[in-house]
Amino acid sequence: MESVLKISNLNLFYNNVQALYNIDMDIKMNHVTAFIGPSGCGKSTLLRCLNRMNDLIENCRIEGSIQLDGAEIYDKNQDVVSLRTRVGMVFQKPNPFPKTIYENVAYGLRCQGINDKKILDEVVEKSLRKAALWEEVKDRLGQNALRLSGGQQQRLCIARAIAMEPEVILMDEPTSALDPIATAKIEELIQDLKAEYTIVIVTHSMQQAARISDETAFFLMGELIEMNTTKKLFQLPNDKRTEDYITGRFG
Amino acid sequence: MVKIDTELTLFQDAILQMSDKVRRMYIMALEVLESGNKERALAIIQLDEFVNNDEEEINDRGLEVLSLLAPVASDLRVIVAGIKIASDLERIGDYAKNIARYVIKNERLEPELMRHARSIGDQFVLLYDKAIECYRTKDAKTAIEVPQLDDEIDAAFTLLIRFIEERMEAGENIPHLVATVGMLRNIERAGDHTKNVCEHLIYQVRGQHYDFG
Ligand SMILES: Nc1ncnc2c1ncn2[C@@H]1O[C@H](COP(=O)(O)OP(=O)(O)OP(=O)(O)O)[C@@H](O)[C@H]1O
Ligand SMILES: [Mg+2]
Repeated sequence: MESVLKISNLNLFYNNVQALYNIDMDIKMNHVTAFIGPSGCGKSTLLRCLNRMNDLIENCRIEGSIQLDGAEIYDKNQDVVSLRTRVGMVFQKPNPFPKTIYENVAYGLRCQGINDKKILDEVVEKSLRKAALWEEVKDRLGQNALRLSGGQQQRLCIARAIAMEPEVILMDEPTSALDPIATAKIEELIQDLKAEYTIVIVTHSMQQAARISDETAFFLMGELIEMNTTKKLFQLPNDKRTEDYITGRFG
Repeated sequence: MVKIDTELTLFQDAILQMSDKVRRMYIMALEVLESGNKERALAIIQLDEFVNNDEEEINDRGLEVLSLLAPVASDLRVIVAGIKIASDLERIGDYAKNIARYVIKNERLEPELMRHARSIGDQFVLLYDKAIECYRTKDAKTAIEVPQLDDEIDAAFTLLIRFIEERMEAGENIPHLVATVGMLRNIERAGDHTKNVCEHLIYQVRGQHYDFG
């Protein structure tokens, strides 16, 4: 199985406090990979490394290597903007811009200087369809995105990421602010999206990781304890600490 | 202690209590085969009602844990294995009940047949006790060895068959002897289900499937 992202010997420090230790990990193409572990174990930190969102954080130092399709993303010549189009991100709290639904999805393309209405119309529709939102909003594309429900806003953010035609979509607890029905919709959507994209998702819900991911990585205090197929990890984990965590006996 | 630990302990205790009743049914069954005490035989049949009820309660308790606490990994296997073990115990209880029914319909066993019944029965109780002890102590290692004891039941049963064949050749009452063999075959079947208990326990502890036939 081909891996899209290859993380090797990654160490990360915030102000000289180490937050990630010697992470080695392959993320497989067209798979859903879930990151689980207790609060503060470094899931979001690692996720942010994958599209260099940590560059925005002062005093964050990274050692080691992350390759996207074989090319080092921390290379000096790597264009961070183009990296972030290839590796998109969806956050915990839906964060649409205070613009119309249409403009939210078209935003990335406009930033790239694409303003041709025909192209934009096409991409907006296609992205909203892929994000399973089109039927709900097609008659009100000009409406302010902030008037959508939380679940709809999150799908809009996914559509916004998809519009850039990324290879990888990173999601940091994308459903933690949503009700069970909106959550189910996003989970279903993630299943559909993996045919075309590689998805990495941080989640605090073990059931969610079990339901939607193919591979699961369990972290503890900045270390990758175990990465395995989700089936294996939730049935017969290799490490006692993984078992303690997934069975709720942690700490 | 986390809540699921309490629930799993209660669940396993319920299975152990059920297994005690089933054991008692066999001790009593061997007794009534010897004594022909039909009232005691009836008591076995009544005890079976409680065993059946235990199985249902264990199923309900298992489903409750599954739906409310969503166990995974080894916790999940405790429930799945436990539900299967309870089902095997229930069958083992049925076989003891069949023996009790026989005693109600027939006379007690004559001493020579009784000696064979005793030998088969004692081997069974030995196997059964070891299997349950493995479950109680979650000892998968021993549970891999224990099913071999079933060979002893088979051997004792073979001796019985040979004995019966000789008697038949000597021209004895055939229907009566056939019924006796059929009745004692219940113990042999109970042995097979006891081996299943070992299989389930190994699965619970190791997540591996074993088949002892
Ligand atoms: N900007 C920052 N500056 C300094 N330390 C940080 C920063 N961001 C995170 N940390 C520290 O790094 C460690 C890992 O944090 P991170 O946010 O990656 O954890 P997490 O696994 O995502 O936790 P949660 O499940 O609560 O979101 C924590 O100890 C945290 O305090
Ligand atoms: Mg986080």
